[in-house]
Amino acid sequence: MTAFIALATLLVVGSLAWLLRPSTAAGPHSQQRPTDVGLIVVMPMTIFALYAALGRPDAIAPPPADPDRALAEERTARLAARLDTSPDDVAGWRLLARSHEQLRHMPEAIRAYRRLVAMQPDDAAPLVDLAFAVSATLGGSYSGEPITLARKALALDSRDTRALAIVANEAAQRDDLEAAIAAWERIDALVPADSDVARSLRLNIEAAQQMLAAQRTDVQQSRLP
Amino acid sequence: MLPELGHLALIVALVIAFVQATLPIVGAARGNAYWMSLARPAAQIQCVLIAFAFGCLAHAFMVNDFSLTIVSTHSNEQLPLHYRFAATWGSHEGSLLMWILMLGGWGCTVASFGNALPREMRARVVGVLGIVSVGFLLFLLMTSNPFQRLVPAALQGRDLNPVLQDWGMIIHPPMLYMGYVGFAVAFAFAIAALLGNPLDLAWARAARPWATAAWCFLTIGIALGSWWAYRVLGWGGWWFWDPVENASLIPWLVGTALIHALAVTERRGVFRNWTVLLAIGAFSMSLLGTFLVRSGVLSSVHTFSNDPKRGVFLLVFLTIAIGGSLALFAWRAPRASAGGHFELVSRETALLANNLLLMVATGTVLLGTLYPLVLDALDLGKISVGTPYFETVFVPLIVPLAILTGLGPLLRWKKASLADLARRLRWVFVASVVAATAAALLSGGWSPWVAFGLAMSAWIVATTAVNLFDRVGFDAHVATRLAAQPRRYYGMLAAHCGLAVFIAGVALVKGHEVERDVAMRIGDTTELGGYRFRFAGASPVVGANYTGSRGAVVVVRDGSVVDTLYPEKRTFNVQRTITTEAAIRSRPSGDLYVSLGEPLADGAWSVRIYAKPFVGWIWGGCLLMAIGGFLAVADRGQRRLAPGAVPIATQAA
Repeated sequence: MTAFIALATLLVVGSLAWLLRPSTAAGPHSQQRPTDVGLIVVMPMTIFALYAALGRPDAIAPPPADPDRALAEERTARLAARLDTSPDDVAGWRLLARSHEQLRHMPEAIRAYRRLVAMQPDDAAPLVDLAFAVSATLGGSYSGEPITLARKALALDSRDTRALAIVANEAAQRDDLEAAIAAWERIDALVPADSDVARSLRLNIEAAQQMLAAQRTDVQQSRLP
Repeated sequence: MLPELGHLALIVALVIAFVQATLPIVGAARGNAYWMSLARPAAQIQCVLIAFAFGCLAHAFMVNDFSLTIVSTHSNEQLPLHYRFAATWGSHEGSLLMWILMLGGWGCTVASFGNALPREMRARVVGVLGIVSVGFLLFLLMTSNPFQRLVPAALQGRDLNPVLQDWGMIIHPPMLYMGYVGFAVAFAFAIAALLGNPLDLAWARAARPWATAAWCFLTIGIALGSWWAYRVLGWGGWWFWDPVENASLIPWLVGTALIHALAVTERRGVFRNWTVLLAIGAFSMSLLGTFLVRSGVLSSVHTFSNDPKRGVFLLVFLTIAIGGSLALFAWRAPRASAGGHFELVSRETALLANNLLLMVATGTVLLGTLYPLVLDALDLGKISVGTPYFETVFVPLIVPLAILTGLGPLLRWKKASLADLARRLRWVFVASVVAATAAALLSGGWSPWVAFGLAMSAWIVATTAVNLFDRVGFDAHVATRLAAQPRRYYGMLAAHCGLAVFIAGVALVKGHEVERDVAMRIGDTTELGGYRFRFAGASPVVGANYTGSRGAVVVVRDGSVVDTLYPEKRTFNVQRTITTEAAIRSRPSGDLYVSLGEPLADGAWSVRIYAKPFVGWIWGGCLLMAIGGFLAVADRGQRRLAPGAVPIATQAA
């Protein structure tokens, strides 16, 4: 917006300067000064009034339209049409669910994941995917269906780190930091120690421990008279 | 941000145009030198601002900014880049912005290079152009804003009308608009003269190159439009007497009259009021054309929308512009015509007859174009005025015009002798008739109409040759004398020969074109115009924004293959419109034109084949006319005022 105001001012001032150049180039004319003053006062005011009436400065920075998005939309629609005729294609359903999720078509993504869960009852992964998708429609909350789905996934595979992450996050959202730390520590034990995941986990754990310590102090202080 | 800056630039341009339209004209009336001096920078900065706005709009099209309404309705991401650029003027709003850009360009050119003009005249001419600019910028900003926003932005655009996706369309509108708008300069000169500048030799000299340049661009623009219709619409026709085509032909006819009248005014000082009236007329007809095409009165590929507000605004503007200038003419035109005298048989009379014929021709086209509209508007029923009317009424007017084209330049100014002329031209006449008869016989079967057309054409060429021979003789010094002739003289010869080429092309196509509509399976052959055409099947094609079928037609002459043509039928992805891409083999002696129709049962296709002898001469003739005009514009002598030139009134005395 600042850039627009600067450039707009430059445009108006530059135009005026060019228009009134004869007053600097040629010799003095008797009517020059009143004319110049009149134009310098009236013109910018008129321009401002007209732009205020016609312009749309609110549209200056529209979200850039994504050229790839239209293509992805089209491909996804085509895939969905194909799966209507061959409904047993597991890989196809997985791709469809992921595509819908990427495009933020959450109801469609959830429907596709539910279908995958039904097709692969012994697989933890679709349950976790579904849990994340449902959580996205709940504003990022993991309570309710997501945590139930994550527990089901852990019953099938207790070493599923993504399901553990849901458990940890759900606990953290409930302010149950001890449970969260416990879950994170379980993930930490499952991932390579020098990985990025491990590093970020340790940061999470540290932060949670500090908060826990602070909470305890707060509690102690609040117990003081 | 760029669209908003472009929008702002248009608003600043409007305010500057208002200054340009008022202060210089008032300054010229009051002798205020400073106010007059504002004309030049105002015209310059106005042009720069409009060009900037146009650039912003073109940029929005090229980067697919669908937050602009017209980008979302006239473009699409699949559209190839050069068509996205051309889509800038593919909509009503965009094409009007181009109109205004041309006007700004002409205004800037007059203001910057019109140094030879008297100060008052330049201030008035540029001021009048400012008035026109104010009208059009107001129209653009109030009723047809190209920078109107679509918030939130559309994800995808509705694409450009597929028939406009052709490179002819990239250059046809700019050329046509250069012509339309160029007549605004001649108009401005006329109004300047009525406002106070003397209608003298200097006036005619100054106005003439601008009018001629505008006429050249209009000629090219119309020819390109015709050529585009021929190639893209798939029917092989080159002129349809469509109201929109007529809307461009009418100002061309008046403009042709104007450039001839200006020649007389400049040379002889007669017809001065008439010339002023023609200058007003040519621009008024351009405005009328713009009104017809842009108001939604007509519907065709050119008319993009129907918004009654636009029609009313344009009608009011038209009334003010035409009514105002005619009132000014009635009030201010010099009462007594102080021109030179001339006899009944003279070049002046010939040019007067030329003007008269062109005006009658204008009237017939105007009548045929407006009459159905008026009847429709008054609820008196719908009638269709088509080709038969125009061919019956318009063509007979062209015959005397063609005869005069040959005769006029050979007549002397002031007083010519008919007997002398008849003696000089009898052999030319006989030679033209013999040559035309021979050519008609050789061209493929005898037809009296073809022979008649060719005779007119041969007459113009032969008299033009006589004219050149009279001027330069035929002796040892011929080269020196050829080099000494002014460019405008060669310009006239070229333009008149262009007319001859055009007439020959029209006569031969009309008389000898043949077509055949056949169902063809792979391997089938058909014969037309001395060629054998073999259909080699059709295969699918996929383009950037369309899919379709491409047929292959092998052309055989005397047992050997001369060419293979690939006509296409395309279905565009977004608008689901089907277009026909004819395949054309163009030669100076004529075109072979193949277009692919519908697929039929068992692998057959309907194929339409045309043989159009000499059709290219139609556009070649137009091009030659325009080249002639440009030669005249490039004549330095025409612009340079001879030292000590005497005003016409004194000259005539």
